[in-house]
This record gives sequence, C-alpha cells and structure tokens, in this order.
Amino acid sequence: MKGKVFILTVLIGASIFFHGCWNMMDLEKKTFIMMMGIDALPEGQQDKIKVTLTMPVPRQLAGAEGGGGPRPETPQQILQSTGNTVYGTIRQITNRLSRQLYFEHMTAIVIGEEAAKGGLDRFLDVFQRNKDFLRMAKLYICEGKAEDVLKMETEMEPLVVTYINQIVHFNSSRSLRAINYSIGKVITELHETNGNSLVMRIRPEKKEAVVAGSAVIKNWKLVGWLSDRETRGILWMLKEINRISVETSIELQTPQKGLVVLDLVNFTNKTKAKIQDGMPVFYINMRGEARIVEKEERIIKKEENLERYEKPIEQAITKEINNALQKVQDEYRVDVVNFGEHLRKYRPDYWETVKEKWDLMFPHVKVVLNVDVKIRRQGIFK
Amino acid sequence: MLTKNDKITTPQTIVLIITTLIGVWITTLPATLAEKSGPDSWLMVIIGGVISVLGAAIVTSTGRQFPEKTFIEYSVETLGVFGHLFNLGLIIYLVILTGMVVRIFGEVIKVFLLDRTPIEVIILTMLALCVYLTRHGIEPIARTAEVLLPILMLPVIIIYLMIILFNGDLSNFMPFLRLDFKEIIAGTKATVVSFLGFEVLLLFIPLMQNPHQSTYSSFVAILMVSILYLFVVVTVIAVLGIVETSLLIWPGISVLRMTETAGTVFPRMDVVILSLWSIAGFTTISPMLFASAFGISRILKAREFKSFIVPLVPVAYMIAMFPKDVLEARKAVEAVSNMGLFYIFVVPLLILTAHWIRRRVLNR
Repeated sequence: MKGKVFILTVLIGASIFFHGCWNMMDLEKKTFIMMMGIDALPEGQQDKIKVTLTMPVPRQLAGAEGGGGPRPETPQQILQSTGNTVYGTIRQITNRLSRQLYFEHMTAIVIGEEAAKGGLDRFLDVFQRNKDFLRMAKLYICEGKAEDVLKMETEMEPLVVTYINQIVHFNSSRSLRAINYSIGKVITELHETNGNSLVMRIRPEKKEAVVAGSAVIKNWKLVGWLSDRETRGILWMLKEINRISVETSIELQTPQKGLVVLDLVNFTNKTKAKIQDGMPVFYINMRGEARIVEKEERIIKKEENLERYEKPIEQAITKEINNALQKVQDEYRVDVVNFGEHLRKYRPDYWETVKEKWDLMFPHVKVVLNVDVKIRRQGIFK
Repeated sequence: MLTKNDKITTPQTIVLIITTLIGVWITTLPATLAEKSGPDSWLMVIIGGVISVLGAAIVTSTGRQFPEKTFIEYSVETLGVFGHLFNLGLIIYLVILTGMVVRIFGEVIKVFLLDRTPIEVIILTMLALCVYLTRHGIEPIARTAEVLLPILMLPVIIIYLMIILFNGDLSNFMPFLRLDFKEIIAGTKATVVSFLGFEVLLLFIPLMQNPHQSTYSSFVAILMVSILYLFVVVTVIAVLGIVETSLLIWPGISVLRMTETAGTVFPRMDVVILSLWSIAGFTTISPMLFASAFGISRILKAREFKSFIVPLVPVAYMIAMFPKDVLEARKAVEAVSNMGLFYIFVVPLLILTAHWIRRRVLNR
C-alpha cells in the first residue's frame, strides 16, 4: 500500500512538473512566412542584399475567402530589410517583429534579376544547410525586382504564393512551358554540373504574374533567359518528361489553308551518345501520341486521314528543339540539357578525357533528332 | 513463449540481432558509400553483407565449440593470459561503441527535432531508458525487440518505397563497375562498419536456448539487414544523385524533406522517420549496454550483472561527449570499428586454432 501511494505521488508529480511544455510556443506567437524575395541593392551597395518576406494576416485571409461584403485589405503583410547575408537580414527583420519567424511553410523563393547576375551561390547555401527551410519550396528568378512579385495584389487567390505555385503546378503538366524545379532540385543540379542549371522565370505585372520560360544559370550566375517556347524545346529533351504524363498543344500550318491544334501526350525520349571523330553525337529518339483539338479547315471530310498531320507535327517539334538547342549552344554556351551527365553515365571512358574542356566542346556537339508522333484521336467530331 | 529462465529462443535471437544492427548508420551509410565508391555503392552493400555473414560464421562457430561459455571464459581457457587482455579489450570496445552510437543518435535528434535541448540531456535520457530495460536481463530486451521490429521496419519500407517510386532515377547508378581495388576496399569497409553490432554474439551464445542454431540465426538477421540497407542506399542515391548524397551529412533523412510527389499524399514524412529513429537507437544501445555489463560480470565472476549497468552510464556518457563535432564522432567510429573487425575476424580464429591445438596436439 505504501509503495502504491509512493508511485502514485511520483506519477502525479511527474505529470505536473515534466509535461514538457516549458518552452511551449503558442501558435499565435509564431508567424508563418510564406515567401521570400532576395534583391540586390542598386549601384554603390552591391555587396548588400534586400530580403523581402511575406506573412499572411489570418483575419483578412478568412474574410477574403468567405466571400460577401467588400474585399478587405490585402491579406498579407510585407517585411523588408537590407543586410549582407540572407540569414543575417532575416535576423534583422526580427528586430521589428513581435512574433517568432517560422519558415517551415515557406513554399516559394524569388530571386531578383540583378541579384542572380551576381551569382546564386551566396544565397543558396542557407536553404540547404538549415533544416527549417523546405527543400521542396519552388525557386523562381524574376525579371526585374523580386519584391514586385511579393507585393503583387493578386485577384485570383488571396495569397501570392498560392497563386504562383498553382500556376506552376498546372503549367508544368498542362502546357509544358515552365520547368518545375524545386530549390532542392536546382541545388542538386547545380552541384552535379558545377553551376549550370535552368530555373523557373517569373515576370510580375500589376495584378498577375506570368510564370513561363526559364532563366539560364551558367557557372552559378544568371546569363540570360529562355522564352516559353525555347523552354519547351529543352524540356522535350530532358528526362523529366518521361515520368510525368505531360500534355501540351502545338499549332500547325496544314497543307491546306488554316491551322490545326494538337494536344501531345505520353511523350518518351531515349538518348544515345555515339563518338564520331572525337566528338560526341547525340541521337535522340522521341515518340508520342497526339490528338486533334481544333481545326481551322472549312472542308469537312467524312473520311479523315489523320496520318497526314503526322509529318508536319514531327517537323514542328524538331524545329522547336533545334531552336532551343541553338540558343543554349550558340548564345549561352552552357550545357543545361544534361549531355555532359549523359556522357558521364554511359560513356565514362570518353568523359574522363573531355571532362575538363566540356564547356568549350558543348557548343559544337551535334544532335540528331528522330521524332515519331502518332495521331490517335480527333475529338468527338469528324 | 513466456519463459522465465532468461534464455532466448532462436526467432528472438534473429530479431535481437536485426534490431541491434539497424541503428544509427542507416542515415549516414548512403553518404559514406557515395563518397567512397560512387555509382557502385549498391554493390558495396552486397559485398559488405557477404563479408559480415562470413564474420558472423566465424564468431558463431567459435562460440558453438563452447555452448555453455561466453567469450570471456573460453578466451582465457584457450589463450591463457592473452585471453584476459582480449576480454578487457572487448569490454572497452563495447563501451566505446555504445558511447559513439548514443552520440550519433543524440546529434540527429538535436539537429532535426530538439534544437534547443542540450545534447547532454538527450544522451542521458536515452541511457537512462536503456538502463531501465537492460536491468531486467536478456529476455525482456529480446521481447522488446520483437515488439518494436515491425513498428520500425514497416514504415521505413513503405515511406522509402513511395519515394523511390515517385522520384527515383536509377540512371544515377551508371557507370557500372568502374572501381579500382582501393575504392572497393574503402566501400566494403564502410558497409561492414555499419553492420557492426553482431559481435555481441560473442557473449550471447550461452544465453540462447539452442546455441547450435546461432550461425543460422545470425545469417538470417544479416540477410534481412542487408536487404534493408540496400533498399535505403538505392533509394537515397536514386533520388539525390551521387554528388548531392555525398555532400549531405544525414542523407537518409534529408531525402525525405526534399521529395515532393509523394509528399502531396503524406507531406513531411521525415517526422515519421525521426520518431522511428529513437526506436532504432534504443534497440541498438540496449543490447550493447547489456553486453558490456554482462561481460564485466563474467570477468569478475559475479553472480549478478545488474550492479554493473549503472556504473557504465557515466563512462558511456563521457565517451559520447568526447568528440567535439559530428564529423569527429564519425571519424572516431571508423577508428573504433577497426577494433570490431579485429574481434570478428582475428580473435575467434586465434581461439579456434588454439583450441584445436590443445585438443589434438596436447591432449594426445
């Protein structure tokens, strides 16, 4: 009996004193950062950066989503400061904040054009070193200033971050004009190729943003942009396309008058490298299916010969890829199509000999394309 | 099967060895392998597993010669004075290994979960928990392992399977077989190190109900652990690639934080793995702590091992706090593991030879 009383006392005492809430943090004492923008400062202060954070204002957010009544003030609050490093600047922001910053829900990071031109390496380290930052957050490079994206007043969604992330979500699977890379993927890519990668491009306008195309990173620095069409040309060649079933439409000039729009689905590609006269030649075989979604032709045929569109569509894809290749080979001279990685994996002996001078060789690499498209469907109308 | 003679059955032995082996290395092994042997890492896991099976065969077949005795007794019986030296070395090795495992366990908890809790508290709490279990002897340890093994294995397998199915790229394992001899040795050694822990069998064989089944049970256990390790290494490297894997300190956990496709179903799966982490640490540290105390009691010919457990805690704690950072702790583990390899491959063979000479040559 005595023992039982003792144990009971210990248990009750333990549950009072050791319940582990001694540094508990109330939810309302935290502020969830949704998005971060990094900008370079103008001339004269180039080694400094400006960090912009957005946090939601829950009260406004509830009103905005509930509907009815006049639209409240913007549901997000902007925090800004300047400093030398990303984390140092975040710490400066806390000087003016009554709550603790919480980054584990930050799903978008935007880097401004000028900052990216100065080199990404100095910004990216903080996101890979600290576990507080999600590596699946999306990384964007912005035409102009990153803070413009964060300060945008979107009408479709109450929060900018949901708005732009949803654009990417649909864009990458439906129209294939943006390269859906998270910050973790970009960092991996940059490490593998020692500083070459593509990053999503975002262009802010007053009330909406365009997420399409990509920024070309060479040697950790932004060197230029690829348009949305060129990005799709690159995406055809990347392996990512094998995995997700993408769908994209393409316009064709038919032999008769008028355009035809086709949706492309189930694309796969196979790359093979052969060495000819000391230079690699890449043979890319692509196969896919298409369906007709729109026709401008007036003539309605009872017996439609779908095959007559196959040749033109193959040519159109080939042309798109060649345009994109030309741009990265001749203009930017940077291997963002992972040809070097392919050689490393499948031609290791050859790769050892050209590894050092690959940057100089890449612009002269020949690519032989073989596109094979089958048109399977024409909608519900002849 | 609730026996009360403090002996463990064969299935219990298998489970006990599996949980002892699956420990803290599961998160660091991909990084070590990616760094040392690149795309052929998966092959190194297989070679390492085979070598560990070989080591287990040596350890257990030595033990089976003396089914009633532990290493502590038969080493003295066969090797004389050197036996005492080896006994002391074994205890020191086990205590150092316990300390290192508990340190690496604490580092991960501190980095990913309790970043403001002092690591001393994490380590001491863990050791206290293990003391509570080990004081009751081998049978509760084995039964705890039986209960915890499915809780540990199933989520790990399901989560990593989802990740590799959605995000894996097996071309990361190209080019195939381009290793020189040195890299094979380095990679294999890294794997064998992560299998360390089955040398507790040196002490546990007389605790088994059927000592002659010890070889069989260690084979099964190492096979299971090899499959799990292979699976984790392949998943991590297939998702992250060789370069990124070798740059991360805990790639096994980091990979859970950066995958996205599977994350739409269950976001933030790292939390699950981190809670299993304490189980993995607990089931590794307890048998080692028990083995150290049990060994000491046998050296001193004491009737009870219980009184030796608590004095071991401050020793293990001090060893755990000795390395100044994670990388140093990992280096220390590699140094200690050489000693483990010595006790698996060299000492049992010495004992077997001495035993054979005594029986065949001297007794005649």
